Amino acid sequence: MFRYIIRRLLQMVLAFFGTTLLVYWLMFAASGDPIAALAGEKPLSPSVRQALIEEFHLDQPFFVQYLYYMKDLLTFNLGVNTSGRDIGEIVASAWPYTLKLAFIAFVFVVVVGITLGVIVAMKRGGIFDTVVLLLTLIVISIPVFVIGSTLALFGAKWGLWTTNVGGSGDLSAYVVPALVLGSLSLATAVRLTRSSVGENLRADYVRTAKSKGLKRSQVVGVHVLRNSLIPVITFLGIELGGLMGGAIVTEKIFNIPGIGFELAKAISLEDGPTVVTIVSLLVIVYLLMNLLVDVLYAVLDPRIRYE
Amino acid sequence: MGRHSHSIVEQDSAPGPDDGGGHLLEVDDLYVEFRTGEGTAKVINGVSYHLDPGETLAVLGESGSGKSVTAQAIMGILDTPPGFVTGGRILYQGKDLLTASESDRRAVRGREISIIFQDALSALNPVFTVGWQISEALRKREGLSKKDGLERAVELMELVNIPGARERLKAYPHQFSGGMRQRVMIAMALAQKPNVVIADEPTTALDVTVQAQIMDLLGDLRRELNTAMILITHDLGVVADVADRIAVMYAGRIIEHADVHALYRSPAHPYTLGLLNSIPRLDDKGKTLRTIPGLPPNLTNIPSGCPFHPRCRFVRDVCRSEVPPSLDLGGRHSACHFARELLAGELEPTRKEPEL
Amino acid sequence: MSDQNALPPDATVVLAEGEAGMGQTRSLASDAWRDLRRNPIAIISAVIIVLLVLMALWPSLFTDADPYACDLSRSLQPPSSEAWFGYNLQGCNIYARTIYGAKASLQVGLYSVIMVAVIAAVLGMLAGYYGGWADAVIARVTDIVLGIPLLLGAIVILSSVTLTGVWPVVLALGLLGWTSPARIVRSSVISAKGQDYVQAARMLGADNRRIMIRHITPNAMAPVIVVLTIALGSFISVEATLSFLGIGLKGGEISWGADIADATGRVRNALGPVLFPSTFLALTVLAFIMLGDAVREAFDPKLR
Repeated sequence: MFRYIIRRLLQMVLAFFGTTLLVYWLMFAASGDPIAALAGEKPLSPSVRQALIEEFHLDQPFFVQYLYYMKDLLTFNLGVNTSGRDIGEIVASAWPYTLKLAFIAFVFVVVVGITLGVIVAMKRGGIFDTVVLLLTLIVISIPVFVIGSTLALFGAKWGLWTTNVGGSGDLSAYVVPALVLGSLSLATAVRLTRSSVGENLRADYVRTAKSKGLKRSQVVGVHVLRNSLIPVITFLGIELGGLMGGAIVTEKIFNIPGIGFELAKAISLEDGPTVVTIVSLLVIVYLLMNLLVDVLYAVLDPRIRYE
Repeated sequence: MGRHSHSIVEQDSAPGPDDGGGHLLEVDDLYVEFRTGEGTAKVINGVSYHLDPGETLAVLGESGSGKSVTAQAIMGILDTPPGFVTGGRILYQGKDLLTASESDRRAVRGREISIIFQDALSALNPVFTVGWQISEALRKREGLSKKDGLERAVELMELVNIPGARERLKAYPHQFSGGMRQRVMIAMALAQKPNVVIADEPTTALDVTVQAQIMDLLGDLRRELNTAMILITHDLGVVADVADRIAVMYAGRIIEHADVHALYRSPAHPYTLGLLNSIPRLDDKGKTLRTIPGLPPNLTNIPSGCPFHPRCRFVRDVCRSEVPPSLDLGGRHSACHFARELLAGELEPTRKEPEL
Repeated sequence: MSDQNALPPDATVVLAEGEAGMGQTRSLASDAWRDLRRNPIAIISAVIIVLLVLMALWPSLFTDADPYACDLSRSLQPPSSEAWFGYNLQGCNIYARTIYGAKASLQVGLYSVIMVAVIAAVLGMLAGYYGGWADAVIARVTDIVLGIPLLLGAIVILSSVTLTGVWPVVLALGLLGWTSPARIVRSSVISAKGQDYVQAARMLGADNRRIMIRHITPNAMAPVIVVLTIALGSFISVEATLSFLGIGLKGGEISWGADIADATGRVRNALGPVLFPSTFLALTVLAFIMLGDAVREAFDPKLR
């Protein structure tokens, strides 16, 4: 178990540096003129220009720039954006909204996704199964921004729900946005649970458990569920990383001032430093969730634990 | 098609050599079909056998002969669909399991009749410790506490000769060797002190040296605990020391049923003869090993007459048209038109033996 | 990001599960083909895709109207006989714009999938064939690319390249989307390498590269086609999302995503400008994903 985690940790560190290096390189070096990449087409005053050069150590070789950047990022010294605002402040004020949204979406995905997945797996081949499968396929196929835009449109036209959440403290305002945010994960979770439970229902150990004289509820509730939830839980872990990673589309549509909203704003303002910083932070969150999932996987599956 | 038109057992004939009625377990004229998209496979076609307390019956046959399906039907763990029991009775202590309620059937499973599966690695749940799995039924059905259940698990693991049983209680199936895993499987099958143990190819997945150890263990346990056993195998070599009687299955039928010594001494069916000839023996040095030519029949389209006739060296015209009845040969049965002639050594082959 | 609609890596695994053991024999392939021809979902998807291709190649078959001829005096006019879907805020014919929008979406989907297929084939073959350090390096690169959520990565790439048209999006999707197909190619190569006749041929000194490719192709074909079909749908979805965010197609292309963004950003009461391009977009993505799913089911006997 210990060796497994260490190995995973090393792999994660490697992936972390590789990923951030790639992001940093794409943002700064690939375009030739890093200042232009940072500031877009806005004219810059010489003092801002000088500040940017100093902040990103642009007078140094590329790799040194990157190391400075990582040092700042890992010490949460996030610097200022092109209009002089502290990026750390932007992130700190936006984070709670994204967390709230992601949390509601996650609860929704876990509860509805697993329940529905188990039910359709038990009734495999029936009408309900077919309908649910088709619905999940449709949800997977419709881009989230289409679902979101349409729901926002209906909400606004008939006054069904708030489409301008803003900085609302009211949790109920987050329900529809969370549904939108979680829709793809939910549909995927249903399909994954269904196939995992279906596969385990056919496993030999189910027959063994039945031969012991256990009730069907005991066979399914203990033996099948314990095994089929392993892939589902690992999937959900990664999804939580994705959900926490901010919901750029959902936050844009429902006007929620979270991380994704700030990212979308920075993209349209061509605010390079904010884009790179937020993307790097989100990649870190995503990688950390991946690591957590690997550990969870080992806890859940003894075959991995004693690898 | 009605099952009676297909029956190969004569109405008045007894199902076994020492039929006395009131057996511990009796399979009576069982029919099972598998219905799939490609058609219906008649997997079991009128199988009858019985088991008395403390005795061991070996059920022998190639894969696809229906020997394991019969066991699954007895346990009530047939996958439905595709498997359907379409006729017959399975009597345990005189009570028909096939018409019993699900809760009555469940009461029999594990406690009265238990089963040892072929591949312990897949038959054991990978995410629970072996101690937990051996004691599971004791906790859930006999109301044992967790601690008492684990104590019993240690005793059972010691009974099946797993060294360091107490330390290995918390180990997972994949941490055991194949032979040890099969011992765990056996311990689990014995946990609820059943009267009948069905061992479904218990050694097929194991190395040859380990196979012998597991067969010895099963023999010892049977004597020690006086448990009746159905030993399902495709390997005629492993049954000789353990079994009292042998039922040979082919295409979902029992084609020969005899006392183990009688069967080895003089088989009364060409198929059994072929099986015996295909066992390599030390004193056969220099002779070619004979195999049975051809393949087991396709169960969606079983040959007319005797199902073995396309592969039989002694085939006659009648074999192609008429299903042979189960002939009572005095304490033994054979479903061959010419069983008496074969036993007397008077049956001449009608085609050349294939050379290997 | 979870709302990116980018199927790889998670969803593709779910949709393309059971990819192992596909396409072993010719009879399996012909069985699968027979199944597909009888599957109504596959037929409907194929018909939709054919219609979309026609729209992309010859939009004038479907409409005489000019999608660029916008007249503010017609702003938000309801559907009529000359504009079946009505006019949008700028007074453009929504039906014409929707028809002409198919071209960019299909181009992005097709070019990205071709790029992904090439990268996946090269890297998968190298990793599977040479093993050892080549495999290890490619595995680490795969980890790194998988560590970047597709939409975020695309945003970063798009904000740094200066190309115009569909190419920046194609480049972004191609560079980020090759991981799952590459893994499939790799495992197919490894299983082909282990087969007796390939080893025998190798011992006889045959040019095993050619043998490998000949045996890998049938093995890897079915699962790769499934993954790529599904990926095509999801790439179209990502392109629309990027255009919706204002960072996707640059320079004059008519994009469903951008049109939807225009319609939602400014008007919250007109359904037409949002619903018509949304429906076309959703049907397009759905058609590819359902076709991929149907192919997978046809090739996976376990699911029958």
